Amino acid sequence: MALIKISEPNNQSKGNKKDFVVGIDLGTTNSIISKYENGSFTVFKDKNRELIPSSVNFKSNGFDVGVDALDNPAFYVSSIKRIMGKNLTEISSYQEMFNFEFSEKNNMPALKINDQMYTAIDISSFILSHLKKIAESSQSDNLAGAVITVPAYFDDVQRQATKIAAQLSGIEVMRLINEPTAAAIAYGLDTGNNGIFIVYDFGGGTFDVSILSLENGIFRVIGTKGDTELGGDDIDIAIFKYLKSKYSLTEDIKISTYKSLCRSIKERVNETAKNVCEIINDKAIDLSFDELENIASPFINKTIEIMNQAIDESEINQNEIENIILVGGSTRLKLIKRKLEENYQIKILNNINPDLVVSQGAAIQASNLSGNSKEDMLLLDVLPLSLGIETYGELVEKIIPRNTPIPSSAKKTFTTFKDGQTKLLIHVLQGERESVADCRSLGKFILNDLPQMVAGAPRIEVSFQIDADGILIVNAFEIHSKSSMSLDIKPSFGLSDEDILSIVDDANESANTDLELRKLKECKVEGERVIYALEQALESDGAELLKNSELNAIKTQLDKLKLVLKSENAEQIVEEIKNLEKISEFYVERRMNASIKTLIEGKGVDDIL
Amino acid sequence: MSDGKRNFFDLFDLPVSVDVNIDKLEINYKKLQKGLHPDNFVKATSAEQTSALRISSQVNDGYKILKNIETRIEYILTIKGFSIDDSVSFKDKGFLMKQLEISDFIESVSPDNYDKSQIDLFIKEIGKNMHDLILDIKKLIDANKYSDAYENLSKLKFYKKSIKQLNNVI
Repeated sequence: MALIKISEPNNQSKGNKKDFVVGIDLGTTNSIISKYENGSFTVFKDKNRELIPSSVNFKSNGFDVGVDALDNPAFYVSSIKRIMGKNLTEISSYQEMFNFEFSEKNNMPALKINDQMYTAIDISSFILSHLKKIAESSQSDNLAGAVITVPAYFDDVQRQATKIAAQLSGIEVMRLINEPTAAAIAYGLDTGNNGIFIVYDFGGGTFDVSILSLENGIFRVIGTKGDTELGGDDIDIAIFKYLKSKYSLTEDIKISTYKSLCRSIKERVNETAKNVCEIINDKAIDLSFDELENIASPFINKTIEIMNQAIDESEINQNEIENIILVGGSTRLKLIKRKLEENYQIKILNNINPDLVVSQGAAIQASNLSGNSKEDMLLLDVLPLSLGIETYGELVEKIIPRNTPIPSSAKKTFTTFKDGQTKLLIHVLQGERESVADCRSLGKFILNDLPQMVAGAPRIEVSFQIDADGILIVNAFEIHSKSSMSLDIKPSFGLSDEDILSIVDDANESANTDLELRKLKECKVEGERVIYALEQALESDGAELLKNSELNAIKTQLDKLKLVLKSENAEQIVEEIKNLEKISEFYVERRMNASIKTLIEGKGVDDIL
Repeated sequence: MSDGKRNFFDLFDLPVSVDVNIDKLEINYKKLQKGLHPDNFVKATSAEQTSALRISSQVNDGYKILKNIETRIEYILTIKGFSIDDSVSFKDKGFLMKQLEISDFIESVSPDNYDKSQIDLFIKEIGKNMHDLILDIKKLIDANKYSDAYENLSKLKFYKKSIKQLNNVI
């Protein structure tokens, strides 16, 4: 139920094209884009392949993405997700997986390719643009929005990076959801069962485990745990290292060139349970089923360990768990099912294709969010990693613990320690460890313009808000002066808001759009949206919730905005939209409060005021 | 809560009380999120999205606080205007002895070799103490004796922590 439902304003539809929404599983090895409509799925194909390689092949005159990128393994970039949202030190050990040198651009690690610098965000945006193109050309409609999945254990920086990549590719992100959660949605809908499920998600580069309860269409995540640096990729690399030493292959052969061959050897040995022979660097090599299991075993044991921790932390009994759901291409390893059966007496579900299930769940959620779906479902997710701030002695004080349901908020009051102090620095971190050095630094927030008072007098309330995507928003205000304070955000890594805007603008500019004109058009659309929404609301409950004087004030401002919309003055339009939102703020609040009552008691608005 | 008028009990349509109808809390939590979660406002104006984000957060935060008895009691004390100060020490000096006794007992338990009947007895006794404490807290809150109620709450927390420690050992 939306308080104000907005059907698309009339002038938004472009020609005869319809809008459609999709789910995107942006994977380490492969990506999948699909849509869910009228109870059935369509997976969009690239050259007849549902699994679209998350690879980009750079050529002298441009680049190929997806299936076409696979032509020459020596020149393509794959597994870019492994360095998403990380810094140079963190990724140094991954250099061997890439054909190109690591360098730096905008404070972020980048790959140097043909004298150009490409960050993980850039390369992910190329992949996303490619997916968008495939879907739009097969639909001949407009892609209006997407739900994109991320590993449950992605931190704030990695989530932000994924969102920016989508922005750059011109995709509107309706919501980021966690991969295991998406899989649970697809299974939940498929089986219609209620109960507690555990999702074992072993992908190309990440391992995630999530425990969820499903009850009458409400998917509630109870707990999540994982390792963003453990995936099928690691088994491929281990195979390569094993073969290299067993057959004394020359030192200079590169894993980046042979990784996909090693993956294919792994898949074939696993599938047939027989030896597979291949040629690497003119030498015949051979891998047996037992050898494969020995190589993979330590990785699988690690996943079982993580799964045990997740069950412990969620404080549920093993016998309460209905099913283990297997997700991710790497769960095809026979060893995994066997080990899970040895360790747990829980029925394993793997009847939905483990490669496609995440994208399907995302597509269901996209359809649900767009308001087109008949499925009555709601997703309640949790914060995967604790959020904290730096305190004395380089320690981290937790302010929102992990596994807290999101959205969530916390407030903290700060004060000054010097007379007349006008600035205050807050260092925000994410992670479970106690010392600053062991947690991921999200950014430093500088509070400006503190009122000049004696030390300890100002009361600065800082609110930390985690939104439904698991992303942090910080606000601050001083209690005595009731003034909100400007915040300068210095991301420890990555980009500030302005950087993002300028990159998005640059990207759009290079597509030869007239910036000014685009801005004006966007303002007008937004203005019409606000007017439409407000008029709908007023019609439904304005008379009950507002006094005459309040109603008139809102109507006067509505007329002002309508008038200015006829002009070509973007700045003025923005200004009047702001004014209208400000003047109707209390009304929005009143409607929310009214709906709280209605939701719980089924009472009408008449009963409240 | 920021608006100062509505507390978490009001939000979930529950009476302000140490005893909470957990089923009703669960049901109303789901009802509220079903209508107020930001997922319902993907197409709404930014003002509504902000509002939904804030209220949905309050619903989550309130649910967490009311669900757990310790945070629930602490929250009731805040509603009553009692300001919590952890630096105040116990008035009940006898409890200090009890604390030492319990800690000594837990330390004496070895994971490989312990007397199960003795442990069961210990847990049963702590369980009874906790039950009595909660009854006491209810009475104290009704009698507006908030600082005494808070002292009992600290005792309750200690007992709960002790049981958890014991469970970690065995």
